[in-house]
Amino acid sequence: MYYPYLRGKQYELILLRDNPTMFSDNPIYPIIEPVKTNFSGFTRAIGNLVDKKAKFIVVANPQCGDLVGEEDSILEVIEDTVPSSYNGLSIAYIVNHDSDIESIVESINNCERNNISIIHYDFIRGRDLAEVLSEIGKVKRHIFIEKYSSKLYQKHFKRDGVERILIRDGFKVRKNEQYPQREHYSDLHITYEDEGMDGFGDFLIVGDEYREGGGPAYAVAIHLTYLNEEKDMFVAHFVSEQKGSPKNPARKFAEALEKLVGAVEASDSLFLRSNAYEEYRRLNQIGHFPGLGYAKKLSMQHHIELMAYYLNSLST
Amino acid sequence: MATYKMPIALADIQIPENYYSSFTRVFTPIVMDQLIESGYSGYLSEIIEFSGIGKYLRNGVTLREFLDWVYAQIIGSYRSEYAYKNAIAEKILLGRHSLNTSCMLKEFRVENSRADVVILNGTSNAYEIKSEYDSFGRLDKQISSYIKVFDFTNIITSGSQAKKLTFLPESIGILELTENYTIKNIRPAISMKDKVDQGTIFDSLRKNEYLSIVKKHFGEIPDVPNTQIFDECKTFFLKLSPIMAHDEMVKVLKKRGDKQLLKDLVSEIPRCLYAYIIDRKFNRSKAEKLNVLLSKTLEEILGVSK
Repeated sequence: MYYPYLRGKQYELILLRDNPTMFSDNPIYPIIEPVKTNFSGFTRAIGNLVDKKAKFIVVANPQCGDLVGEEDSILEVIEDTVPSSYNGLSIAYIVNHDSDIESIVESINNCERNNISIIHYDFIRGRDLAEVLSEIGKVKRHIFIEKYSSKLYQKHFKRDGVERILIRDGFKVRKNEQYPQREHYSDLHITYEDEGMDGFGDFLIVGDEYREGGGPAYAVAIHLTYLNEEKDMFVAHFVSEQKGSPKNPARKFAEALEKLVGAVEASDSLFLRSNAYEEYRRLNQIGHFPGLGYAKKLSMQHHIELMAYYLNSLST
Repeated sequence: MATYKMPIALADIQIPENYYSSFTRVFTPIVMDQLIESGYSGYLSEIIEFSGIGKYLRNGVTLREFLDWVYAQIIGSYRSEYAYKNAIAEKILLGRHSLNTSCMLKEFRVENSRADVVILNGTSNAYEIKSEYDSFGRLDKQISSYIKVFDFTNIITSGSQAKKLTFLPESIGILELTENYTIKNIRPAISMKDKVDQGTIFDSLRKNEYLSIVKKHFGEIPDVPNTQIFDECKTFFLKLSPIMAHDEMVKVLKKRGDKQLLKDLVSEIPRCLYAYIIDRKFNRSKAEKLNVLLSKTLEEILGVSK
């Protein structure tokens, strides 16, 4: 099972809203951390996931964005949007350096849903937490952010009937003009079972570090993941030629897109011709710039389609 | 200080010397926006406490009085870039020109520089601020960019710094922010609008702005995919004469910002905040919140008790 971790910004939510069957028809279980006070995009996204009976996880206590400390309003929105009989939803609680065990337990006990996930950031008292949580039957899975938790920490939570998921941030954020043409992304999709895990995840082509908007880009970069012959995952970065000023993003997008389409269409191409890629190709054909947010959405979609393709290839 | 009277409650109080730069930051968008949006400022609370002036702020000092006091101290002892910007807003935009016919822009990007202040009346005037704490390191580059776009390019600086500016080309105006907080013309700038570079002007405009100019002069906006619009429009724009390109720029730039809002506000808002409120992100809802806060006491806003 693949667990893409999405911060609920505008285009992440549009991705979920417009592609619910991508999640329901494949072994993919998105984790959504709401970050925006305006819930309309969020409710439409999870509404569509419910309609298609997709499984998904919602973080009730986000640690970044506008909704830090807004646990009650998030849970309220969920109660209004997801029927209590719906069993595809898991509520997640993040534990980090600020957390204390008592209030986490209290939140879990008060939560009306009985499918709870714990997302482990930099919490320290792993053994104590594991002991307390082992008594609570509705905790169904532990999700570890690899950078923050050691093997020993993860081991405390090993227990029959409780899943363990490892999330690795395979994406290295740089300034757009500084991306190499290609670099390694992650092999966790192949090796997670060797790590003793029941599932794996990543932060797509965005990275774990939360950022709001950002200034004008001097260069436009489009990221596209692919598998090599061994099914190890890499990411290609297509960067515009112009990078000296923040002017004319549309033209820069066109330059990056031209490189992308050229690479995918090459005879020795390793890229999956995903639906997202077909949209890139169409944009290239008509010379249209849909905005940088939309381009990011397509690259995230491509990544998830690639994971779905990989996971399905294992079972056939 | 002629124009800035200290509130009586604070008349004898000084900001400790090593806190001037912290206090001048009170006027930056990052501090003011947060104060206005949330009604509280952790930053303000901290600098008041750490600088030790909290104990003087007990007796009902309002935010308005406090800001006036900080600003009076800044122009008396620590003339930051904000003090220069605000002086330009008070004394040039509102003093020499009028809000009916002029507008002020901050941080206007030209090539890889940003002109600190641009004032548009019938023509364009750029002001590069060099406070006593600034070096002249980037000045050559900045000037060579600004004269590609603006009619009049000026440097505004302190009296002592002004004497060092003899290396500037003749066309560049020099202004001094005097000890008495007035702006003195050392020498006028010379009109350069017949020598501007149309391409650089084009690159400084927003999409809706260059589209409207191209439409006006060439009839229609070229019917090409949006990835080519910029280059197509630029080809057209380059056909305008330098003076025409410049004058069209002035017209579209004057439409930036909410002039009516500014006119409504200048009588209500303390003068020390002019340079802050002249910003495209400042709007009526912020203005209303700010007005409420200004008459609150610091105790009410921050819970100052020390």
